[in-house]
Amino acid sequence: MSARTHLRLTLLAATLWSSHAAASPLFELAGGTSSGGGLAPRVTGAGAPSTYFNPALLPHAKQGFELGVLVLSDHIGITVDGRGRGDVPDIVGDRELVDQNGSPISNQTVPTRWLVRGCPADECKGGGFGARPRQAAGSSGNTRAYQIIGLVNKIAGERVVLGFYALVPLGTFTTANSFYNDEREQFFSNSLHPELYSDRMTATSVSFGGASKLSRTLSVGLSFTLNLRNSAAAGTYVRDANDYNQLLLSTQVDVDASVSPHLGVNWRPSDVLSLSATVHSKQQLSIDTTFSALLPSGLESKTTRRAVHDFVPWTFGAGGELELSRGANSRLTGVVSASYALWSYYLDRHGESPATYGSYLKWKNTASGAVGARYERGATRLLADLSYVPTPVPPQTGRSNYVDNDRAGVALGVDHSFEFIGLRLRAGVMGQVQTLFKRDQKKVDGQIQDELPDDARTRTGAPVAGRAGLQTNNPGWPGFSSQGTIIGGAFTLGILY
Amino acid sequence: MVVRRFSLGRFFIGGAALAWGLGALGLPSCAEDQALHGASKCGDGVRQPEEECDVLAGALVDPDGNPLKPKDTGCVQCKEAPGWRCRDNVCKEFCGDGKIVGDEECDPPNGDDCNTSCRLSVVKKDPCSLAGHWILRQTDFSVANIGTKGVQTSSNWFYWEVAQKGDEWEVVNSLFCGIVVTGNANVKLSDIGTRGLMHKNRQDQSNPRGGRKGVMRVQGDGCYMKSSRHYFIRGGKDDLLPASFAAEPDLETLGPLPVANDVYDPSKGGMLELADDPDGDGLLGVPFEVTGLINGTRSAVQRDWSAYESDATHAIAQFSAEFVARSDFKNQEKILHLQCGSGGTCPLLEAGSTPSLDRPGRVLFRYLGDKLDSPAVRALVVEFPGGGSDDDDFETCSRIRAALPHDPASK
Repeated sequence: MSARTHLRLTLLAATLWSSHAAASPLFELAGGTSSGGGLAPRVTGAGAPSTYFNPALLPHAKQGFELGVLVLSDHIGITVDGRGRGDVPDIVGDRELVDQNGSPISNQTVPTRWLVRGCPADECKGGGFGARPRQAAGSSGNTRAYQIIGLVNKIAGERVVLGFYALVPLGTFTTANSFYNDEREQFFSNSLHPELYSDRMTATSVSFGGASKLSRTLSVGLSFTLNLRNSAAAGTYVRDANDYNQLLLSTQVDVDASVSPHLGVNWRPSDVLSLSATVHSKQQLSIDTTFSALLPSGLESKTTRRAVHDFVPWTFGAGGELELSRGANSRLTGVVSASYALWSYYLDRHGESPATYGSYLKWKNTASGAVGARYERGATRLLADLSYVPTPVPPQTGRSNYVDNDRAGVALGVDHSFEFIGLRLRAGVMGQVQTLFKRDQKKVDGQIQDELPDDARTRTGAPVAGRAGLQTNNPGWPGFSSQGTIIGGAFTLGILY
Repeated sequence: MVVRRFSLGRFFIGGAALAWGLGALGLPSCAEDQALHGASKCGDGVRQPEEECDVLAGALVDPDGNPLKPKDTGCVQCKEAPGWRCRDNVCKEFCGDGKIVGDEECDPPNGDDCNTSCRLSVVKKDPCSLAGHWILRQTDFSVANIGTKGVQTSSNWFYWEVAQKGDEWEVVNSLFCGIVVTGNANVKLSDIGTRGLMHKNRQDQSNPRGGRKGVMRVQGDGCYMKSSRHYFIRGGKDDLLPASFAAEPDLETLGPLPVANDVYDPSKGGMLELADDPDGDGLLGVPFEVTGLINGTRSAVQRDWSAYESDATHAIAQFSAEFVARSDFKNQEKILHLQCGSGGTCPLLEAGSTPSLDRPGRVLFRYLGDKLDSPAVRALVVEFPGGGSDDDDFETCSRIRAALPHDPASK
């Protein structure tokens, strides 16, 4: 079998494996938390984090085991603009409106006042409707800590090197929150949420793989991100639709482990230059949920919904590290890293493409980059990186409310190797600040779902007051803005052997 | 052993301390979520969701054209004024809160001289007499058959002209004015159905099977009232009714109601010989429009009876111009055709309901006057019922429903 055939088979396997894999966007956000990876871990910082970012760097890593703590604090503020019109009238709550043909208007909205003030039990049949003020249930402003676990083991010198790298949340193992990005969210949080942060920062992230130094200058690596794929079925017998305490519920939950492969190549044509290329396949955590409801009359209704969480697109990376100067006991290098991510294939938490409401809302593929420097003197290493990650989200002028911003980051880090009671240790700290630049979004009325048709009338034929023009409870209408900061810090301690 | 001290425990503690420290820093205030308010302000006539109402100053005038004072609009500083309830920026007097505002003549209703519309009752000259013109709202409760046990509250409206001799009374003219049901689903007899049934099942003496009659007499300090049982058929031929109402047969002893083999495609036949189409929509049965949790239209044939009687729970004062009596009620229904709405809830449209055993029905009588040209009668009755056009009678029915609005309470 030729090398080309090997490559084809490997790529084919990667494609197949990735179809149902789960993911960790946390790796991408945190960057290389140790060994000098910083914000350019695809091209430098050989160590346990290379298992995910570029397994081809593993042969150049020190063999050892490391533990650490990563803390990430996200503060992304979303401001929704004031509404001066567009309210859905109270009469909609009566559910007795019809269109000009006499056909009932579907229950696709609620009176705006219910969302703002709630609907008391004496007005709403069935016990009332709790208030859901706009943007009162945002999801940012969290500080989360993670356990860092890393391992590099050279089981056959640099010919066969195994790596393991994990970020395990100290707290909830994994959170997956679904929210709609359009007017449907009015029934739930009635708020906007940062699309690429929030619960995506809670995923347990595990990566493992291996690499081999094929020649003096060339090494390759293959690794996998391990995560979960869940399916749940909830069957119900509805004895009394007015009293869900009497509901009979039977659930079946399946959890499958799945993997998503990543490939890396590192070429060092000379002692002063290192070039890398990486391919990360699409990753996502899929949760299939089947609901069924059986009524005493024998009527059974069933549906299955797929939620997609932690989507990370196919990403192609390349870059290099160049020695700028070398002293007797020191070395300075410059680092350049670029990556291209296929965000145009993005699926949101409800498994829907952003282009559902129009091709103009399709996400863009993005090219991002980082530059930095590494300085090594004796047993001490320093890093400084700058990065820029553009948002893949186009202007949100229509129904969808994907919140995301261009992001720039800076990272500083230092680690030091030393001996202690006969053990060779390495301690490191890294801090980073990422700024999400302010972004304003203004809606275009014509692209918003009119939740009360202009021909709405009552059963008696009277036109509904306030039906003309746009009525919507889309929480992002008539516009919104977002900005924020992500601050992170990591401390690691490794045993080298 | 020494190495272990450097591992997990310390890192956990360190991480927690670092997390706490960052959180305590109180990171940039620009990162807080917030919702801005609209540009409009109180008094511009545009109600913001956080406002209870917003009346444009000077927009509402009295009959003389003079601007109403804010308290008379029901909206003061964008809040509901006491005694008012505002909805969709339209404020109306709230009858029953004890505050006399706007067009209210009294509040609260007392079953004597203040009726349930907070208007002064028409004065009755004779004690314990039904003689004169009345409007009625019969309220019944049923339980949905789909197993959800949801309580459905129904209203039937009628106009009666009653003659009384001694203790005995009989209806001499009548109108049927529609049906509304609320609960898990909202059901309304369509307008064409109401039109087609206004003069059917007449409760006056023109009905060959007998009209509604009864007794009303002084009993203690109040009155005793009882009506005969009256049978109704909707969407079916009169052959489905008992030959004589006086025998008061159970519905189950009567012939079966028409049935369709396929409610989605009635052309597939069934026992439809005794069904009819009083509304003329081309479909057998009368059309009921269903909205709410279930959407669609169902054409059905219904058969029921009702009888009214006062009891300890429903006492009647001797000169009361508005009173409530117990309503006994039984019904049967067969759906002949379904027209599905949106949402895939069509199978639920097939479900009917049965009368609730633990929620007795009631009927509210409101006296309008003793003559057709009495002010309260003229205010509601467009033309002598049955003597003018159907349009006149339909308008009369609309006014009657507005005067005694449906009460969705489930008890």
